[in-house]
Amino acid sequence: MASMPPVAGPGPNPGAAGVGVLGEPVGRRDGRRLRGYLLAEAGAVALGYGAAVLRDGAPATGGGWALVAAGAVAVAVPLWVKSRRELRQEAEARSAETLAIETDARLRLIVGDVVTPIAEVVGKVHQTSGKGERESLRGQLKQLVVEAVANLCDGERARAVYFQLERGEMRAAAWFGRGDPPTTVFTDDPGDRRGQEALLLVRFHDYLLVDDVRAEELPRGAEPRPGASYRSFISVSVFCGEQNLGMLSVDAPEPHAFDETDLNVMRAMAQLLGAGLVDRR
Amino acid sequence: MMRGQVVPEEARAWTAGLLLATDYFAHARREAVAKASAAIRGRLRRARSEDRGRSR
Repeated sequence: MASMPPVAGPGPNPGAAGVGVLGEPVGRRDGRRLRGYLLAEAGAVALGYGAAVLRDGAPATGGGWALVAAGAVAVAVPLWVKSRRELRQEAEARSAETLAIETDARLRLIVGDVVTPIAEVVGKVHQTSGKGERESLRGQLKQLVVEAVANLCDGERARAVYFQLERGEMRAAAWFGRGDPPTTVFTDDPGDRRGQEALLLVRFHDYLLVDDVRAEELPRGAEPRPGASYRSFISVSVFCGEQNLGMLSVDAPEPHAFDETDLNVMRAMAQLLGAGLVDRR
Repeated sequence: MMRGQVVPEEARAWTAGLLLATDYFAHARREAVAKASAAIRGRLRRARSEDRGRSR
């Protein structure tokens, strides 16, 4: 999982991670305390060394002063090495704590704040008897899913699109995030290689994660359209049983914006969407 | 003891289109981070006190 983006953008907020009950960052407070201990330790050692030197009287010769200086260095070096090691360990523990908080927050967000309310909407779609109302709920569901995907996946300025499959073509039915409304239409025309590959991805119930459209050797048809503003993307087939419904995509203008956790979020959201869009047979 | 709504009011407001996704996610993210922070710090505190108990 990539790091958590800021509150305004998609993904959780790194700035708030590790904030204590009183609002003071936990790591900073612990770091100050450790530095205080280290300073106190250094002061005590310096005091002890100074007292030991002065007990025998100040050195009278240059050689004596050199010996005192060498002794001071010999005392200071292990103290410095120890303090460096402890500060490094403390920083590592702090970053591990921040990572744990980010991971836990993300899990809470995905399961508690997104999957739970969307699952309720999926249930409502199938409970509704009127066709108009059901279609309205389905439209709402598509929009909720793209909003959730754009906010949960880690790419900065991510954009999520649901392409609906109808009469052998896929068009954007819902979108959320940066940029203009998507205009791409995926068709099965012999000249539309990208369209053919996208339709195959849906038909085979596959997913595709591309880290960098400019760097990777892409499978045929997965290359971006000319002038595209994205560098990385995930596309996932939306289906339920044997019914193919469309494709859920998220893209970002920066490379390596998404990881396997984002892919799993996409897979889960695509299946939720499929469960809500599938027709009763 | 913990008791609450399975689908909270703010989540219902978002799914019903009464709350913008950006507002909903900003709020949800802040809540999630605060709760996660408290939970992780609590777990770490318990682990430290268990370690201290074992080392005695």
